[in-house]
Amino acid sequence: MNRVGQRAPMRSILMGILVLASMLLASCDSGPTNNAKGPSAANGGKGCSKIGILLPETTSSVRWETKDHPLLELAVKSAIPNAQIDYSNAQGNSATQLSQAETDLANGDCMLIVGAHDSVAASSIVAKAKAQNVPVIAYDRLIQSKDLNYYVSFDNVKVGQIQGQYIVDHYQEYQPQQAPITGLLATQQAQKAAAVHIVMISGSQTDTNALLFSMGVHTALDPLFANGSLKNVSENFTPNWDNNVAQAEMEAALADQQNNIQIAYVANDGMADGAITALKAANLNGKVLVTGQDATATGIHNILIGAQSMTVYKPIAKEAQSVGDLVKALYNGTDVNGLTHGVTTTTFDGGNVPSILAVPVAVDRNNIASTVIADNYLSKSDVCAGIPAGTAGVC
Amino acid sequence: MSMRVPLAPSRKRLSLTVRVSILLIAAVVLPLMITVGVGELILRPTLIAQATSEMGNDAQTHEQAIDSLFIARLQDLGALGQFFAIQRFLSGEALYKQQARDELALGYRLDQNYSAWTLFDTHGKVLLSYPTLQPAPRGKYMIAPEIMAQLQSAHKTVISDVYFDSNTHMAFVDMYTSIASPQGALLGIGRSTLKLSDIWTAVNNETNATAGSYAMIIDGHGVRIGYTNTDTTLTTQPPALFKAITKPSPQFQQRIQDEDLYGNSHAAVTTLVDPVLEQQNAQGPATFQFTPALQSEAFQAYKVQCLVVPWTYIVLRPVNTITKAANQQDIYLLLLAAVITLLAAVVGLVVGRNLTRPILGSVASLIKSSEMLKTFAAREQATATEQKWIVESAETGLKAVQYYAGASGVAARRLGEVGQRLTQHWERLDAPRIRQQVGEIMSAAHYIEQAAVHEEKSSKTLSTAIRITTQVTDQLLSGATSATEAADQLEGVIAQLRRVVGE
Repeated sequence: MNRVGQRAPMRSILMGILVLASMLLASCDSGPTNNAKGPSAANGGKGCSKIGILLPETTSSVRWETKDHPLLELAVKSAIPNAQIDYSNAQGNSATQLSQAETDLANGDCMLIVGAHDSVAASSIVAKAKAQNVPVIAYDRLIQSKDLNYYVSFDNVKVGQIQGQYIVDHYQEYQPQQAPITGLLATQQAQKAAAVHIVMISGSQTDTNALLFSMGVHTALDPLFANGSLKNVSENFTPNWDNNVAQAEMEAALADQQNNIQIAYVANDGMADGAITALKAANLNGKVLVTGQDATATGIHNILIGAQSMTVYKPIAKEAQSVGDLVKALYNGTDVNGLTHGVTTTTFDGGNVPSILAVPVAVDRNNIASTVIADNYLSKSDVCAGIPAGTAGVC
Repeated sequence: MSMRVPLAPSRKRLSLTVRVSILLIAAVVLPLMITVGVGELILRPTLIAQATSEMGNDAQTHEQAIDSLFIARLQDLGALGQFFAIQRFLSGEALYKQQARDELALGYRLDQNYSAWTLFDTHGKVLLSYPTLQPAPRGKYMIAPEIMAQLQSAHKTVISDVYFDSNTHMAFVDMYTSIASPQGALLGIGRSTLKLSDIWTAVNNETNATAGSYAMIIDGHGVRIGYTNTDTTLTTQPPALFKAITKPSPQFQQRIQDEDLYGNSHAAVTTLVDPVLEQQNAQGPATFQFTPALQSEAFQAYKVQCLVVPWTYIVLRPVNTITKAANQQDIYLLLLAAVITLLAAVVGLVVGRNLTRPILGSVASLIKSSEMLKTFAAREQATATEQKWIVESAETGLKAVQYYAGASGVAARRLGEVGQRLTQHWERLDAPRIRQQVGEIMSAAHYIEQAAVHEEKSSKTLSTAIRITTQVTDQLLSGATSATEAADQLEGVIAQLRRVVGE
């Protein structure tokens, strides 16, 4: 009997097993990095139609989900009609955001638009994107990395300046409580007590913008602090822009000052709402100048009912549209200088990031109709619930 | 002609039961042994690679945390330097002093690890400080000369080497920024002093990774500025802290003294030489194995260079803890193998016994059959001998009978001839001749008598042969019966063996 003939099928089986094993091993070895696809994975965004949008959280402000998210998607799809968008929200967690970015990169996203939760931690996102030649556009919040490609935001120092300037313009309308003292002492006490007490509730210290807002507001208010017109009785940064923490900060300040507070500089509308809750509890609702930012429905509503004095309207549609313009330029491979006009923003490590910085607008009850309502940023139904008709010419 | 088949040289073999047991053990244990072998070849390196990867992630996480911390704190410093009141104060407007101090306080509150914020003029003279009014000098200087040299242009940031506060028993660094006006004019210097509490805590927490693991941070001068403290009360410092891995240069030694770096005035900075670490720290790969100073076993190390400060974060884990999982797996597999071996041995013995019982019974039957056949063969041999003898006897007897028959015939013919001659020549015979003839008759009769005697003997021989033949026949019958019985027994053995091995 031919034994070779007997062994041949066995060899074939063994070879088949080896081939199968090799295929299995090969399949096991293929990691997510191999999944990167798209023509622009190594092309700096040119021809890129798979775009990741990463926003930071939902707690501090509803703007991220109600405004930024839809407006960014609209802007990107307007720029690139066949764009495929991967959207993520980090829910206030830097590690989550990094993980989401890694997933996007692994899925072949070739352009990232990142609203950073943490300006420093997000530098890892930039580093990972750079490794794949994927451009990153920092949206609204600067990412502290010289490798960041673009930054689209508002002039955040200007935001703080607008808030501060509003206080400068109106602080005299909110005079402190006068003690019933007479005589020379009374005059001296009156002069000494004339300083308007201000509580300053800033944003998160991990957010570059919070410091920029603070810088801007101080630019406006420091002269009043220096000349004693204003007295800064409490100033805190608020971790994660947490509205409840802001309320607690306001409550603490009210308790510390025995409710002798005339102005509450609050960095955004969400925290302002928390501060207003504290003021309501102290029966100071409407009696304290309260600032805000973002022109949220809550903020505008609070303005309309007199609980909040102003907000800063940052036309997010404009900011998002700037992102859309940038994405389109990158997609087409055209020069972006026409968009940035040579404006740069510095990072800690010496980076000068090409930037598009939109100018914000102060909004109080006098110009709600001509700004946020006129821009369809908010509708009357968004802000007029429970408010008498005709209020501020809006409702 | 019969041929005896040569038997294989007999050797002492294990019983079938034992062999079955051994085979079962081999069948069970061999895969385990292969698993152990594969584990040694694949699993152990994989585990080391995994552990190294974990160490790498750990080190990178800490390095990124350090970088993030310093970036954020530099950001604080940079932003605060642009605050309006600070700028105005540094510009010489004393009106803004309190507000500037408030803003320093604001900066101070940005991180609980800030211990001081200070403003200097462009020559390094203290203008304002929070919370203390006058910060302590750093050795001979308020600002070390080499730092001052770097701060002579706008928007420069510098992070100092590490100092040690003997009061708080905490290391700290100074972060400096040159503060410029919006027009770019140098106004002064801002400094924030940051305690390294969080960094030391992270280094100390490295013990949580695995037993015996620890971490260290080596600064750009080769001094261990962070080292896992095994004293959980933190009342003592780790022995290697603020010890250089190689002897510092004379210039740097002078700086250590002049600037009181590393708490030199509290405890003089010494050298704890670690040449391997020095070499690897300078130019080695990210991960390496060595026996660090003050340690007595090999460690796997993973180092990551910080980006913001010239520090190297090194995570160290004992090699034996990295391979612990592989070792444990080996032990478990060996224990498992031992247990399974025991079970297999027992099962093998039981199965082998059940398996060999019919075989052994068959062997016993075969032995019995063999003995019967041997007996039968012996009987056959004896019978053959007897038969041979019988045949020979019969032949002899037959020859004798034939001979004596012939002799009797001859004698009878001679008697006949003698009788005829006597009859024919009776008248002419004389007495001598008659006596001669009678003598011949008597001789012939005697001859016949002798022949008869011999025939009788031969007959007796033949009779004996017939008797023996009868006996042989009986023996043959008996042998045939025995052979039949043996054959039956062999058939039984075959049947039993077939039951054992299957049809």
